[in-house]
Amino acid sequence: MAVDDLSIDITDGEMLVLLGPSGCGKTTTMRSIVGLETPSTGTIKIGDETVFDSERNINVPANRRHIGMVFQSYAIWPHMTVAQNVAYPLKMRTRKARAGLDIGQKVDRALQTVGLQGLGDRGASLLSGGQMQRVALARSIIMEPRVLLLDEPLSNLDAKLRDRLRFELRDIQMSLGITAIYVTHDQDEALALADRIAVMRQGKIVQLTDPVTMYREPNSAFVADFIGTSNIFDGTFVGSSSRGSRVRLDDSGLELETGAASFDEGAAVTVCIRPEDIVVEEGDAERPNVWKGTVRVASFLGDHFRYSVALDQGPTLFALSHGSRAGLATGTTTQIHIQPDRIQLLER
Amino acid sequence: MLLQTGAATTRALRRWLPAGVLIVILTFLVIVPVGMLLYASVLDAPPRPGADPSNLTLAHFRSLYGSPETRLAIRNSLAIGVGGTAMAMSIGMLLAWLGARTDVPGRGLVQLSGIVPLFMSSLVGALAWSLIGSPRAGYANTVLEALGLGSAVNIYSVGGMVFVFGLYYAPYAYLFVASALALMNPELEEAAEVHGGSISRVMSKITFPLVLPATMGAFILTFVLIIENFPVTQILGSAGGVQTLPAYIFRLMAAAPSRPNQASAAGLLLMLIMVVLVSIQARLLARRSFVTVSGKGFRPRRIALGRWRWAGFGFAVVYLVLAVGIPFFALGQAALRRTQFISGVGDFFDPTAFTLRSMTTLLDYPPFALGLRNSIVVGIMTAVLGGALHLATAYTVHRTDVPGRRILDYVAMLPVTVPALVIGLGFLWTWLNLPIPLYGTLLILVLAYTARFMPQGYRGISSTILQVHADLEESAQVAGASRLRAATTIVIPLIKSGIFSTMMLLFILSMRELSASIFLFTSQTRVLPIVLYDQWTSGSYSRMAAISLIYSFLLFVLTMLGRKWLGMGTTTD
Repeated sequence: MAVDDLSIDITDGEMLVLLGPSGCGKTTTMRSIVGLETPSTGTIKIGDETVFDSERNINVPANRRHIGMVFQSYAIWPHMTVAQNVAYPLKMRTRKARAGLDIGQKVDRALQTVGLQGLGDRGASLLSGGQMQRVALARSIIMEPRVLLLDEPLSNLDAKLRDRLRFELRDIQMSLGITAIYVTHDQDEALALADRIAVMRQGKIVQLTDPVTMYREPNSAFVADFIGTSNIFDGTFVGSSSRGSRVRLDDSGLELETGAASFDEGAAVTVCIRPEDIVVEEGDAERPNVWKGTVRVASFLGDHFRYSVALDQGPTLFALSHGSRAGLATGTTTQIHIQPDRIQLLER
Repeated sequence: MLLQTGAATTRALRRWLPAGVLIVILTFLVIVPVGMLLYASVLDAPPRPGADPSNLTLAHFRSLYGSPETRLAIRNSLAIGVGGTAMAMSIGMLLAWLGARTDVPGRGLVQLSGIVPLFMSSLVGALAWSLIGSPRAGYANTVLEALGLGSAVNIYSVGGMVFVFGLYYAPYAYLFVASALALMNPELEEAAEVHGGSISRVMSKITFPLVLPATMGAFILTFVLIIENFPVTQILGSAGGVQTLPAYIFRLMAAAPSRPNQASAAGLLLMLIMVVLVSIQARLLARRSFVTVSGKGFRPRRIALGRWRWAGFGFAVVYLVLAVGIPFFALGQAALRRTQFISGVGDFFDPTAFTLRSMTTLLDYPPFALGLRNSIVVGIMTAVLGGALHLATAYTVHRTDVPGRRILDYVAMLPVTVPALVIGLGFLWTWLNLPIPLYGTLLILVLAYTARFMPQGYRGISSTILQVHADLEESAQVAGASRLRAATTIVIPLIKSGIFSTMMLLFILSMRELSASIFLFTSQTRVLPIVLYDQWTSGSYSRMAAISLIYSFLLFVLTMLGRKWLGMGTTTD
């Protein structure tokens, strides 16, 4: 079973992102909503209409659900022009629903919205990946769908185009007020686009909340890992004092000072440290959580450096350092510092 | 409550309907004929209407088992199968490798030589080689005697049949191996070279193991095609008294009095051999997954042959001369000579000995016109019926989740294991016993051909459907199109050319089919291969050769049109 006992309420006009590794059931969830797959039990409601209810034997076919969908492969029909592709959903309407509709004008407007004005007559097989993506989007918004589903729509594009289209997509979605569900396995995309993120694992939702909370307070090691916390260790809770709590990493025996936490002594915990919370610089050795280490790999990423630092008595940590200061070379001995309240402990 | 049950039944019925209708059709085309053959093989009287279905016996199998003739036929069939396959595979593999992976001169010609003999049906090949290689009067022996070497050639022998099969089944081996080589990512070979492998070691350790499963599969499939082949074994084997299984089945039916029950039992025996072989082949190919296809356009590296370059070219030329050149020379001689008598080599080139009479009189020979017309009508009907049926089957199997589609997939591929003669016999028993007067019409031939070529047709259309990503159709449904409209506005326009090329293939295969027709034709429903076969049995060699030439020309044009316009051969077989 790909999806197991899943329940989400989606608010009007919001962008919900389903985030998870491949095979976690996010695509199955999406295909069930649009009607391409039939869940074995449960109900799906859009507004006031029940489109699926296993008990009442309701299963509205995909072509009558009025849901838009952008496929990962774009699914642009190569034997039609751009305009024919975009006009297709309107042409599939019943004669009555089509009456008085100026299809040509609607197509023009949709193409303009996605930035493809004037390309209507072009054969769809001659488009670039980014253009196909825009056609797919125009084809979906022209139907004025009750919900727009996007299945990893940017994953086949190169990184630069992906960043730009991500913004445009969010802009179009918000200005048209479309309710959207966006499936991805890319946490940056999820954080950038979502009103709310649902992290999925093995067919279940692990955490469902807004991006900021998701990033600051992941509720499990899985979510922390997925959302971009690269330093995750198994640890044992040592105890609390007035100054804070202490935790020992199981593999290296390194002891860390953390913010106040209430675990039993000896409790097994997961220790999460985000890379940007690790300060790589020489400084006051009297502060807590200061260790010596050696830079193993340094990579320059434009606005920041990314290091992996092997501690003399401890694990290798990933750290980010912002600013335009000259970076540290590989092999440099250095010192790192972590503020105790930035270290997150999770039950294991 | 009652109403609800009714609604549920209706729903279940509608779910099963599409697959159900197709299953019924395929059952009548495949399962029923084979079942009737089984029934005929255990009935103690000829399987005609009125035979008592309760009098069953195993006597036919017992007499088959006890007869030394049967054992001889099996032994010969297997020997010819192994020999013919080995020769066909050697030729096909060498040509495929030369054409795809070496710097052989005239690469276009080498590649063409691998497929050109396809337009000669094995029937024409056998007829031509009987003119060349018959023990005394054959042209080859005329030449050899002139050289003082005596009549050394006898094509009416096991060796002769191995030779003819080797020549005319090499294109099948070529197609299999060429496609396996084309699918192989050359980066696999390049990686081995980069890591220090010499060219010969890369060939033996990487290239060969990678194409081995496909090659083994091709070997078995070619073997199956050869042991069920009727035209070659009948024409070359029976003339020389070499008994084989297909010819034996025919003889049991054609002898007076005929022995239909034994013929059916022998048919089952042949089918059993094929079932075993095909299941081995299916296993081999199931493990082939490591030869993976990627969408990249490959530009394979070509191996420099050095001084062997021209030897490779020469090999292709010799093959073409043997498979096409000499046979056509022989057919031309037989068709255009005033008399069939030849006193010496000089006669081959004596201009006064030739006339166009046999060609021109063909126009006034009614059986030829009738046969040609029947063949074209049956071919077109088979293409249309097959195209529609395979499209419906392939779409149901690959694009729907209706129950029963696995069964459909299985049944559509089943005829791979059914010899053409068995299909003919099975149809004969089926339609003699059903109260529908189909026997004696062209329609029974159309149905028999549809059953016979079902695997090729179904696979051809399946592969074109599978090339259309499911997303393209699903996005149409999401956009508001019903299933039917999504199929008609999106899927069918996209696979149009694939469907046409499969229909063209069905047409060409139908034009060539002798084996499935031999038990089903009547005087008014003769098709061209039957007319041709009749000329051979009645000894009208001149007319036989004339018809062969026209017939081969027709198949050549059709094959070339199919390849040129429709890219045929890339998606089929």
